[in-house]
Amino acid sequence: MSIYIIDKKIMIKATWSFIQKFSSPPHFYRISGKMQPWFMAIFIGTLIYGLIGGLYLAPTDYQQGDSFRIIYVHVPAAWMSMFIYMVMAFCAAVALIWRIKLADIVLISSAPIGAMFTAIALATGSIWGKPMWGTWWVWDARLTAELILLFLYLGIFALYNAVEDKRTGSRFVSILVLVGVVNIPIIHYSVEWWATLHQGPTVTKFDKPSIHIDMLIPLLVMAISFKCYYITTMFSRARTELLERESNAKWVTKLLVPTKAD
Amino acid sequence: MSEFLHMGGYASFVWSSYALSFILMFGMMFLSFSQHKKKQKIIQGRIIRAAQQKAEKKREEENE
Amino acid sequence: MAKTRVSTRKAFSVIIWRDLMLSIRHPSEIINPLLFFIMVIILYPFAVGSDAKLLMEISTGVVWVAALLASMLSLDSIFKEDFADGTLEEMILSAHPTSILVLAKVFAHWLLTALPLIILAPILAVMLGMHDDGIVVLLLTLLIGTPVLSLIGAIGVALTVSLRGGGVILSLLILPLYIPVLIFGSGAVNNAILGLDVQGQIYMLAALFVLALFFAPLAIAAALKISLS
Repeated sequence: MSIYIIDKKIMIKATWSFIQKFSSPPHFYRISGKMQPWFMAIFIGTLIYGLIGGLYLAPTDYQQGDSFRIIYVHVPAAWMSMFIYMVMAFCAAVALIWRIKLADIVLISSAPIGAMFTAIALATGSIWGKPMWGTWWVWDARLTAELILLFLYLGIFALYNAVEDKRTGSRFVSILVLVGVVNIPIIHYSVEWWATLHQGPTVTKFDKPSIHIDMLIPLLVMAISFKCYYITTMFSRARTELLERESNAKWVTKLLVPTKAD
Repeated sequence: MSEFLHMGGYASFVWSSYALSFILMFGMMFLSFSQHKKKQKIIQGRIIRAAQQKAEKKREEENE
Repeated sequence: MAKTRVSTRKAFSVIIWRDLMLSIRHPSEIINPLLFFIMVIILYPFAVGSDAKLLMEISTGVVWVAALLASMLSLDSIFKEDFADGTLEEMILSAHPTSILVLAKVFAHWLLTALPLIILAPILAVMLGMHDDGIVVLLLTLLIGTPVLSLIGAIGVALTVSLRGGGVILSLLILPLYIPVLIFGSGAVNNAILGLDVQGQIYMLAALFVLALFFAPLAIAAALKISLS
């Protein structure tokens, strides 16, 4: 029993030191730089495969015709908009509880990418809606919830940019993101309830349960592709942010001007 | 090929949404990459300048 | 800190009493949001016409949106003065849990700004031609819903109180979070007017209230601590 407890303590200690080591700015900067090209390659590879599969190989939908092919950007973008917010919420919790610098940086580097995916999901949803519903905008539950999510993202930028000190700004943003993440399920539920009340549940939705396997595989491939895109781009932004915040640190000097480091 | 581009009559909708998505995505990606490169250069320049100033000061002191 | 031990409950009531007394000196902070509430509602007939049927149809939405905007407008005053004169800092340094003290401030603010608004709302609803059943449910939903608005809003104020030009950002931060309250509040009133069941929405509003009551003070306290650091 006691051995088990000691073991557990050592395990926790080891995990903790691993987290601290990985999250130390120079280590993250180096590792992310090494991993970036790989994620870029997976992104491009899966993107090409997904696009061929989705635009060419997947059979035409018998109800929606070829317009359904918009889902291969719309749905992964909508998934990413939520996924990135969840990543940000996780980072916010880590940043507030353990004061890990890296979490702050990943959070704020993710925000523009998340907002971009939200905007893409909204725009493509609206473009898809035009031939399907006959109008550019319908107060459909998913689109409306996505619109609210965009405002949550915009609020994060507004708050972060209004604070002069970036450290304080990040901590404000962490609280805002956590408040937002508690609210997202509530907003989704309430908007869904509101939409069914106002227009009846007959509206065709994107994810019909009977999706053909040839249609589904490209969709999942595109989802992987977008995730790799996010990691690649976020790494780049995080590294910029790290350089900015740590510009006086020794590791930056060592890295950028190897001869001058003494 | 033209049939593929035609998208069963939905060409403008399908291609415009793909174009919009990829312009935004690649725009964001290249912006992030170039910002990183730029930041690297700026900080590199800052460090080198600081080192040069330091060296100059040292030389002046030695001359005196 | 506090040598003479004051119980937290006592501190809670002292803060409420103090805020109520202080507000007598600045009555405009209570009256202005109320006037705004009335004005917004009065503007609607001019914008959409005096057609009684149309006004009746939109009355729920108009009253709820006006209440929401008025409560947002009044938020600014909740921490501003205490932040400027250092009272807030003392509150955080005191031995009592900050979240409880902050809850007292939000409650006092709700008593001062939302309660008069709830009292006025039926009069304006009658002017818009709202059905009697609707008015009863309107009162009930405002009674449960406005505390949630105050609690969520206070988080936004706590985040922006130290910033210049925080007012504009405040609306961007909290209005998206107000949407569920708006949906269930106005949904219940609309259902009441149509003679449908309103229990579901009322329960949802009550659930939001409980959720906000537990979590909002923690977020407010955390945000204030950062604002003051």
